Amino acid sequence: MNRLCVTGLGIILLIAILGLLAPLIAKNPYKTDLKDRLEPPSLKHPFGTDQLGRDLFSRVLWGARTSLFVALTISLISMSLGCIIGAVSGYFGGIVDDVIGRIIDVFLAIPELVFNIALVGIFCAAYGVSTWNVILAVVITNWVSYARITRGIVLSLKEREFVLCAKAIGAGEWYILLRHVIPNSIGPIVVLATLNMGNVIMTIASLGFLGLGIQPPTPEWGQMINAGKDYITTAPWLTFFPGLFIALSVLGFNLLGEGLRDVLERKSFIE
Amino acid sequence: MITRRDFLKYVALSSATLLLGCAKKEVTPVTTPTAKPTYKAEFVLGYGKDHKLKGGKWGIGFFPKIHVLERLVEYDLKHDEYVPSLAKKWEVEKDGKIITFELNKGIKFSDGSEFNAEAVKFTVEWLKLNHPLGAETFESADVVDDYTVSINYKDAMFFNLAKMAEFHMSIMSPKSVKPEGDPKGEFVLPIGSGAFKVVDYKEEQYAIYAPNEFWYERFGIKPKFKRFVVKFIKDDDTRVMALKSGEVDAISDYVHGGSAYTPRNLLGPLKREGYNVFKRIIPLTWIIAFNYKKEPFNDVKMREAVDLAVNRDDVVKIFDNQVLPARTLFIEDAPGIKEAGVTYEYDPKKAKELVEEAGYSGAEVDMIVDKSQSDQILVCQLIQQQLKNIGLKVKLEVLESGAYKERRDSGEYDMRMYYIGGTDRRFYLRMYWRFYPGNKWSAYVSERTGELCKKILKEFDKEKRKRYLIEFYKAIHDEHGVVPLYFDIMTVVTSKNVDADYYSLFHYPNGIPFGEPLFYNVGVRA
Repeated sequence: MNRLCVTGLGIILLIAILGLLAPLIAKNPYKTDLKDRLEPPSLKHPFGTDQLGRDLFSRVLWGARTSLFVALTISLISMSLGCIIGAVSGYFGGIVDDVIGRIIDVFLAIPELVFNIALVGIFCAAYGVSTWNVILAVVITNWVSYARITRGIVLSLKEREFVLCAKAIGAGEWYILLRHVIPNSIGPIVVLATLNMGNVIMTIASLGFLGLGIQPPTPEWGQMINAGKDYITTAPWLTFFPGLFIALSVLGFNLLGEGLRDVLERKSFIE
Repeated sequence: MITRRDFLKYVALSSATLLLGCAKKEVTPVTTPTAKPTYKAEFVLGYGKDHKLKGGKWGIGFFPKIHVLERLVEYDLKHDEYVPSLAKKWEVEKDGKIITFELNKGIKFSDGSEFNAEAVKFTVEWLKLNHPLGAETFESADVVDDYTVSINYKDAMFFNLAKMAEFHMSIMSPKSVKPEGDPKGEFVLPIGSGAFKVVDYKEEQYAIYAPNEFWYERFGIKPKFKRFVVKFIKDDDTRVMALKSGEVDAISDYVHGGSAYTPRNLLGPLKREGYNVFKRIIPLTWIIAFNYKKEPFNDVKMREAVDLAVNRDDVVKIFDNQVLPARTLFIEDAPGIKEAGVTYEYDPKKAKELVEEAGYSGAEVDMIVDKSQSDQILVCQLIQQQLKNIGLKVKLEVLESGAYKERRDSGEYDMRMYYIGGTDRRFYLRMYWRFYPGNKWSAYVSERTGELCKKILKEFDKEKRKRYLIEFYKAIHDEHGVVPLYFDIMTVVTSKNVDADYYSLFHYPNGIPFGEPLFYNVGVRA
C-alpha cells in the first residue's frame, strides 16, 4: 500500500463524506441570524458565524459539495476532451497533429488564470451570471494539458507491437485508437487528472475570491474568503476555515496523485 | 587593621546614610503653566481614492475640490439655506435664469493672485467647455465690476443656486490652466483659495499639500502642520492596517460618500483600541430601486410588499449598528422630513399577503449589485432571505461595475441596490439626478413625483419648497417608489496622538456645517 496514496485518499474521502452528509449534519447554510453575527467558534457554531450570522461550519461543508462537484465536472469534461484531441493528434499525425499542436501552443502561451478571468467575464456578459460559466471557462483552458500528455503517450504507443498486430489483422484506425491506444494510455492520464483536481479547486477558489466564480449566497470557499477578508483582524475564522478546507483538499489530491504516479511507475518498471 | 569599634561606626554611618537615602524626598510643588503641545511638521492621511489632480472627465477629485478650492455659496442642510462663502450676497433675476453674485473682497488664491469676478467668469466658462455639469448648467458669465459677476443659466430654476454649492462648481484661479485664463487651455494644476495648496502629486500613490497661508490668515487661525500628505490606499482593510502600523496618522472616508470608507464593523473595535472615531450622519440613503416599468414591480402592491418585508434593524446590524435604519426617506435634518411624518414600517405578514394578492407568490426576481460594493453584497444577501419569507425568490447577481451599469441602463433587472442624496451639498443635486424626469441615473419617476420634483427644483421660496418636498416624500411613500434601507455616515479615524475635534472636522471655520471631513485644524503631537 502506498502511504501517500492512502493519506491523500483519506483526506479526500473525509471532505467528500462531510460534503455529502452536509444536509444531515449541517444547518441551513443560507439562514441568516443577525443576533449571532460574527460569533467566534463555539459548540453551537464549531467554525463560528459570518457577517450575516450564518453558521460557517454549514457553509464550509456545503461549500465542499460545490467545490468538489464543480472541480469533478471540470476535470471529467477536460479529461475526455483533452484525451480525444490528444489521441487524434498523436495517432494520426501529419497536418492534423500540426494544427492541433499549434492550437495547444497558443493555449499554453496564455497564463491560465488570466485567460480564465477573461473568459468568465465574456461569458457573464453574454449569458448572465452562472456556475456553468466557470465550468466552461476552466474547461477551455484545462483540456490542453490532457491533450499534450495524451499526444505524447499515443506517439509512443502507436509504434508498439500490439498496435501493429491490430493493424495486421485489419482493425480500423478509429477502432485501434479507441479500443487499444486510449485504454493503454489511461494510467498517466488518471495521475494527471488527480493532480489536476487540486489545481482546478485552486482555480475555482481564485475565481470565487475575485468575485467571478460561483455567486453569493451559494457557499463556495474562495468567495467565502473574499467576503471574510474585510474581517481578517476582527473575525479571522471567516477566512481560516474555508482556507483550511481549500488547503486540505488540494493537499489530498496532490498526495493521491503523487502516490498513484509512484505506483504506476513501479508497475511499468516491473513490467 | 579595623577595630571592632571602627567597624561598628562604619556600620552605623552607612545605615544612617542608607536610611536617609531611602527617606521620602520632600518635593516642593512646582506649578508649571500648561505647555502647548508641539506638533509634527507632517500630517499623513490614508484615503481610498486618487485625487486626480491632473483632471479627468469630472475634473479633479472631490477631496481637492473641498480642500484646495472653495465655492461661491455653501449649503446649510438643517436650515435649508444657501449661505455666503466666496460670494457675499446674490440677487436672483428672471426666476433664477440669472444670478448676480457680489463677491467678497480681499480673498486671495494660494498663489497670491486676487480672487475676483474674472476668476468666476473663467471658472464658469471652463466648466461649460470641460465639465458635463457645467455644460448642462451655464449659458455665460458677465463681469459687472471687479467684484460682481452675473451668471446666466440655461434654465430658470432654484436648482441653479443649489448647484453653486456643488463640488464641481468650485472656483479656481485662471492660472490653473495654460495659457493662463484661457477656458480652452490645458488644465495644469488646481489653484484655489481653499485651506491647502498642491505641492506634489503622484497618480494613484500620493498627494502632498501645504497650508494656504492666505486662507488661514482670512479665518485668523494657524495651521498645526507644514505638510499634509495624503496616501492613496485603495483597500479598506489595508487602510486600517496602515493606521494601526503608524504609517498614517488618520484615515478618512471618500468625501463623495458611499464607497472607499472605513469598514463599519471596524469602527467599534478601533474605538475600543483607543483610536478617535469621528462620524457624521449624512443625507445619503441606501435604497432598493425597482425596475418599476416592467413586471412584477410595475405593480405598486409588489413594491409595497418589498418595502414591508425589509427589516431595517437587521440591515444596520451588518454595519455593527454604526449606520442608522432608514424609517424615513432622508435623515431628519433634511428639509421637510420631520414635518412630512412619513415613516416606513416592517410588516412581513402584510407583505406576504400583498405578494399573494398580486399573484406573484413563489415568483423569481433578480437583483443586481455592483461587485465593488462588498457591504451591499451582504445587504442583498440579507434582503434575499427576508424576501424569501414573503414568498419571493431573489436571484442575486453580483456584477462587475461595467456590467452592472450596462444592466442598469438597459433595464435588465428587477431590483438593485442604489443610493439617493449624498453629502449635504448634494441634497438637491441628487434630487435632480434620482427623481427628475428623464435622468439616466434616476431611481424612480412617476407623473406625480416627477412634477413635484420639478416644482422643488424651481422654487426659490424656502417655505413653498418645503411644502413641495413634504408632498414629494408622501408621494414616494404612497407609490413605494423606492425602499429606504439605511442612512450612511462619513467617518474619520485618528491615531491617539492626533489632536482633532468633531466641530472643526465637520464645520468650516466660519461655522458652516460640512458633510465632508476637513483637516485644517488637525495636529499630530510630536
